[in-house]
Amino acid sequence: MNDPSRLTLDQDPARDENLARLLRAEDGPGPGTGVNWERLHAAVMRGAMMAAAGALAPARDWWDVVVGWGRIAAAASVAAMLAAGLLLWRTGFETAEVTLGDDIAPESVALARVVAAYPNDAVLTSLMQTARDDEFTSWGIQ
Amino acid sequence: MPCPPAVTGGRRDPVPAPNPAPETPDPHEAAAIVRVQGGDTAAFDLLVRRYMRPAFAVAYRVLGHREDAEDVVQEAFLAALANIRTFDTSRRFGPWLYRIVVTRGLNFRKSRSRRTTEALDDAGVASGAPGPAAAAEHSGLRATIAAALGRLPERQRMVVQLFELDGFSGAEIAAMLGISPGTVRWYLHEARQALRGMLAHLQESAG
Repeated sequence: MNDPSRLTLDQDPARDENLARLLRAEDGPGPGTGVNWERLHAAVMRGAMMAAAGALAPARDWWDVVVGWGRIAAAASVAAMLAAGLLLWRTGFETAEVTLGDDIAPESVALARVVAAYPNDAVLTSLMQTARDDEFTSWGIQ
Repeated sequence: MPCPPAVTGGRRDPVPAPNPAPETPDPHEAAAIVRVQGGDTAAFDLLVRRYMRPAFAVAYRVLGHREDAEDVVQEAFLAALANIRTFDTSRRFGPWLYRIVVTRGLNFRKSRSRRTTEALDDAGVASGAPGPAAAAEHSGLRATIAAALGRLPERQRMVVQLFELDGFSGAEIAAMLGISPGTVRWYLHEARQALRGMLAHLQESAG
């Protein structure tokens, strides 16, 4: 400590009692005089307890997260496999009704499936017939 | 649980304590922090009781409003709790908390700046204002000193109030404001010089 009127940057100066007395006159009995400390303490601790469950939960590593989701992931996998199997089973029957070569374009396969699904549809039959005629006509073959 | 000793910064604490070395952690405090870091929130109680008053003093110097200061103290303690795992127990908890208080206080003030203008009136009402006669007698003195403080740059005002009124050391003020202790002492020197000049007539009559 040293003379309050001197500037020292390497250590704190002494308190200036005269100045402090004046500042206290402006400050009154102190900003904390009217504070209900017990209420403030209770409010802080209540907030701390409420936050504790989430904020203080130990940080989990990625494998803990994986283990936590393991059962759900296993159930979801089984469900997905069943759904895929069912879809495949149903799709297999549908494709069996339409026997097409491997070298046919996908658009033609799709069209053939539509036609096969509606075998008695006159419009579709007419369109298919027209398509066949056009195919040969374009090469000049009747 | 033993009663925690009062710490520096609480000029009006009923049990004043000597100012420990700024970077020397108290073993009881460090143990409490380790417990809190381990998930024992009840151990936080010791820290709250120990630092609630000085933290309030810091918040009040930033905000100039008692209720806002209480809100910021609550926020700061909860923020400290949320980040307690990052705290280095080889250091003292106080300066770390005060820094949070200052940061939160400045943010709070930005969002609710209109309330700071009520600071002087509110301080009088909140802290047990004197009766009408005494108030009239002292109002001129208080207004003069308040005006002088109001003419200081904000950091100088905060430094001189925290040092002279609240009993914080230069190192503690430096930590809470995020500046060097040398800069704090420079601000203190400048503030004192300015206030002595502005309040010379009052000092003479008071002395």
